[in-house]
Amino acid sequence: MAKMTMVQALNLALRQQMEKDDSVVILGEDVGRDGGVFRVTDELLDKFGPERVIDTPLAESGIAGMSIGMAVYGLKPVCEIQFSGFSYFSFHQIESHASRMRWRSQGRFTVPMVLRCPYGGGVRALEHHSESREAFYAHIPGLKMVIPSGPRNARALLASAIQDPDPVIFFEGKALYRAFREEVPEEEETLPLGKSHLAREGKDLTMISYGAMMRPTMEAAEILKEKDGVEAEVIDLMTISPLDDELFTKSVKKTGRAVIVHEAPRSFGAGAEIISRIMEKSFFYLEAPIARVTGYDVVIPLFARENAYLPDAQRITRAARRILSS
Amino acid sequence: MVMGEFTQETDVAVIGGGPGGYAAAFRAADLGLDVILIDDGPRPGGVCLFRGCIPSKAFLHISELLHDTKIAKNMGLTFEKPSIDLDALRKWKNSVVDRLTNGLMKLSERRGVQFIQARARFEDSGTIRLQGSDVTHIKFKHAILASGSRPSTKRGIDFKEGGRVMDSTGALDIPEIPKRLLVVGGGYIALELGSVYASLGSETHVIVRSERLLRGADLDLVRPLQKKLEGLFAGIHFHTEITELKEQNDKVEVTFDGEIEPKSQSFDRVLVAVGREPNTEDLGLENTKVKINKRGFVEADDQQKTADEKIYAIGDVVGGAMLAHKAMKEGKVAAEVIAGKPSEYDVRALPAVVYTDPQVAWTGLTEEKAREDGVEIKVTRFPWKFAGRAITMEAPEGMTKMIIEASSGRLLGMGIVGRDAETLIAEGTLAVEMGALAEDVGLTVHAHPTLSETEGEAAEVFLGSSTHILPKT
Amino acid sequence: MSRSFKLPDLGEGIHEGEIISILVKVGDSVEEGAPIMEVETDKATVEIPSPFTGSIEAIKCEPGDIVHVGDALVIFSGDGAEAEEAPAGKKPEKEAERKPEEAERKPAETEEKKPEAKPEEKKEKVPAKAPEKREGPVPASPATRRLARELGVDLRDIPASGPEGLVTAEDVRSFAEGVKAKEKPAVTEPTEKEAPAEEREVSLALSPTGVAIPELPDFAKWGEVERIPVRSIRKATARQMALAWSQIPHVTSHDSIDVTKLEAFRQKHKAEVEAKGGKLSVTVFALKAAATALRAFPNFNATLDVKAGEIVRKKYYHIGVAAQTGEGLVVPVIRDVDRKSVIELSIELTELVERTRNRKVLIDEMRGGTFTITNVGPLGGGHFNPIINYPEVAIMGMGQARMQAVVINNDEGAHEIAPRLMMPISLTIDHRVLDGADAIAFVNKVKEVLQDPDELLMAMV
Repeated sequence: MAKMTMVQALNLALRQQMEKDDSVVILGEDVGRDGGVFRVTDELLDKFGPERVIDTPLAESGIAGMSIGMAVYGLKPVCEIQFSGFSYFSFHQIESHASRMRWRSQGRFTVPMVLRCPYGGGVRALEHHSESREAFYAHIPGLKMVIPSGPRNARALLASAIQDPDPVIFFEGKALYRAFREEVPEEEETLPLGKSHLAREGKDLTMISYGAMMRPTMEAAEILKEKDGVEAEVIDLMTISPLDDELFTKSVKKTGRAVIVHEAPRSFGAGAEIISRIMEKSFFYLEAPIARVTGYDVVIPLFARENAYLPDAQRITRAARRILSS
Repeated sequence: MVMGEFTQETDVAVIGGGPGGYAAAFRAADLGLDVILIDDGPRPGGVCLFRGCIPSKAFLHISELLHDTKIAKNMGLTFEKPSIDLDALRKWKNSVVDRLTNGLMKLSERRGVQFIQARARFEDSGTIRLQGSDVTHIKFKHAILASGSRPSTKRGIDFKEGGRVMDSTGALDIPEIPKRLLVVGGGYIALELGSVYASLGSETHVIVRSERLLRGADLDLVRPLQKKLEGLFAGIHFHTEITELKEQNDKVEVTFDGEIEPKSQSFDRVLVAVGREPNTEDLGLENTKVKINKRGFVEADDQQKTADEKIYAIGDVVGGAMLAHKAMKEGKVAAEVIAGKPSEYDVRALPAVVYTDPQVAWTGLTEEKAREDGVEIKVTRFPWKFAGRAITMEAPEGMTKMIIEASSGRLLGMGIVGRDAETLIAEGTLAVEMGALAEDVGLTVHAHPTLSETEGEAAEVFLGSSTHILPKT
Repeated sequence: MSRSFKLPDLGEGIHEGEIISILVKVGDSVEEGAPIMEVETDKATVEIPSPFTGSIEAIKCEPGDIVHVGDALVIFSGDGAEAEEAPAGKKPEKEAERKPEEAERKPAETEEKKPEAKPEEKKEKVPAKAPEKREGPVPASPATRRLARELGVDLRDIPASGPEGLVTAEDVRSFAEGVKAKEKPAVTEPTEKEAPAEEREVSLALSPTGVAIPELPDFAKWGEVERIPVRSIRKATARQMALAWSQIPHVTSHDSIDVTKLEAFRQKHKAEVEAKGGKLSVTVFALKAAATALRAFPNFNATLDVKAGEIVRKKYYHIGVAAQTGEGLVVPVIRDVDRKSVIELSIELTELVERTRNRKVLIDEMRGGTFTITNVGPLGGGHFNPIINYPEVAIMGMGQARMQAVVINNDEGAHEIAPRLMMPISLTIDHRVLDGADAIAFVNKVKEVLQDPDELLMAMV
């Protein structure tokens, strides 16, 4: 086992999947010669050659469209959209074709592609480089929407995504890329898509989150334990769609209270869906209304106000305390 | 490269990849902590590996070789005058440095220590800003400052890179073998580097501001060295200072004040080695609670803690003996304290070695310091002219001395001048640390014929049982 | 050469005290034996004499401090202050000059360097064993020094067994163990909590049954609270009562004694006793009555030795009289009640109670009792259930004598209601040793003797 950052873990996953299966190809802007602007595809061109690691022109709809074609043809493309904020150009391809191919062909053709992009704020980047729009993709039937929270699960989830026969949108939190290092085993490891993970066991409160917000959520759980003696249960969704509601409804039945944390804007975000499921499946177990700690319904601010927008441990703790006391 | 500020979190951020820094980083990693080691060089090693200890010792090895080929004539072995290929010499020195620094890089990787080449500044007591790397910020639980030192510029002398007035860094590049070299300084760096150039063929003049060489060492240890150096150097001039220095295209004009004659001379190169000063600027220390004392060193206690409870400091930057092994020990202490162990810097005998020929080494209390502090001592000496091994090596100009506490017979210090003093001093260091009595050293059997015997015999002089010298009472 | 004076062992089970006053100040010269401070332990104030002749270098405590046996209280400097400027190369101390405070300690020679500012700035802590501070680094190998750091001991405190004062790893380990042993609490009851040693000891003392006590709620939640530390007499009482209650099965017999005649007798002789310096109170008569009953029923004058399985009957009659002082309940003991006259008892009792109220009673005067009388009558009250003064087996309580309507047999032998002065009496027994019948018999004896002064004269011991 070696300690690595998420960038290194993703690189490991790509390398191993490409070694294992030569139908896996990578395409995107600057992924080849440059190794990716975040170095996720570092050294893969040298290893696998230009037929499998393709530097594309600056054309996101082309990148997605080409990937769909390759996938239907029999390859397993892993395309990279340099920033999730640029992915809207490829949205039409994804919504109108990638997600429907299985339905359209009644199962004869599927699209085993992965569309990876860095998403989310916390790195004081420019406009268009910090938003979280996972809800757009989660709302499309026929797609899987996956968001890892650390090096080890990023590697395992990407490996599973590449092996999945249907299109997977894989969002990588840029704030997490180099934030911390974790032991990641050298041998191949996968995690099933569509299953969430119990990150922390507890009994007084359920906290549900994903991606870069897992860290402040876990921090809030520690604060609650230390200061208030509250044992919070924390769930890492890992896959947004299809949503694994089994784990969190079981948890809410145990605790009776829930807090949901995501950096995406509040209204019509993933939190809304989670709350609806909880209401549907464990309404009578609720002791208090469910709280959402989210980004605000505005464009994510630039440098100076970014920290005021993103949920932090303090905000999450306050919300938790509010519902614990009602 | 990329837009955005990328923050990495870690348990211990070590600033400075020299012996102190890397020793601290490795120890911390071995104790289970997450460590980031930052240095502005491409690999760990710092001054010691790249432009200090290692290169100078490589060259001094050459000096000893050259010296031995010369005296071999007396033993019946005649060598022709050697031809010196400076390029090859430099290349070999660089290969030594590369081998060692690559090794350090591998050790870092194996231990999970992340090495980042960058310049670091503290933004506050918990954050470091990096320049020149993908990671822009590091959030640390603890930091160890090991930024080291640089050749002192205090005499108002400007070192132009590649100029004729060199500091130790420039000198270690050996740009040429100057015909006439002026060495300014009487400490170990001046003498070591001066010896290297003199052995390579330069007419070397050493000027010293005070009345003696190697302040800090006992005079009786310096005398045999000085005698030898007087033969090697063209001249050693005490009580002499530079009043004016003019660098020209092809020479340096120097005007002196003091004992040297004539008072105006020109040299091909000038090597200035008058001391080292700590690297405390441009580190953003003013954004932390770290305190710097009047002499410019960072204040740290014997657990290496500074006034800022998250920041530790070690090595040259905290002053004291500016030696690599002191930095390494302090680095280990800092790492252990951070890991929760009750460690502290409680060294009783810190060895110091001067790698001239003969070498000079001392450890523990020197005779001078003992007398200054009013400690009642007995001093015993064993001159190497009575040591069989020294004679077989044609290195009889040596002496081993012991400083012994009169009341208890306990060994307080040891001093050695002679070839291989660097190795011999270890026995003295161990003995003083263990609280050994001179009796313990004297009763221990030392192999014959070896130079280490001189240590046993010096102890036996104290006990009155020495063999190869008449015991004194 | 500094010497430290530590709180000596003050008596059985007493391991701490409160500093009441310090009678000297820094710089004073004192003679051996002169009082230097007053310490209150449990219930008595003890004067501490100076163990040395010398001058006071430092005082390490102040009034109000709680100190423990072994704590350094005062530092004396040697006969005349030691010269500050030692000339270079002073002769080291020889073993013979060393004070044999710790007999087993091997001699360690110290080298005296010319003192720099350092020794004074070194740790303030006075070494527990070594009477003089070592100067300069203590010889010890690096591994030994690390061991000392890990065990949290100071090399300077450790007696050295290596040559010329070398401290070995063994020395460090044995010293550390010794320090640990000393810190064990005096009460050796099974412990339940991991509270700090002192806290544990106090709470153990106050509830020694080994029952796990649940955590208290935060009372401040419901309103304002005030916290008063349990100290001194209160603490001692709490400890004693908790112990007695938990160990002894208490049964109390209540009755009332017609003391009309006794009271008249008392009034008659009050003045003459007062002239002699004593106060003729009901308690004095009670003492005599009790002694009489104790003689008749020896099991009441005893202790149950559980370990040996024996009843220890005492052949002496020392009766404690519970007295309420400003700080709490104190029980001084009157010895040999059977051998003293009523007048003698009056005088002694009066004087003893007064000294008790002024906190001048000695610890010894509170020890050795075989039975206790607790008369709350002067304050009021009727029947109550007194708690036995462990390790005794019975206690007699008396309430306020009040005029009451009582049915008596008149001279004709017929029932009549008459106003009589009735005093409540409550006798608690240890039912392991005594039975209800014994209690009744005892009470009857006391009644017999107190109801008629003539009877008292005839029967009393």
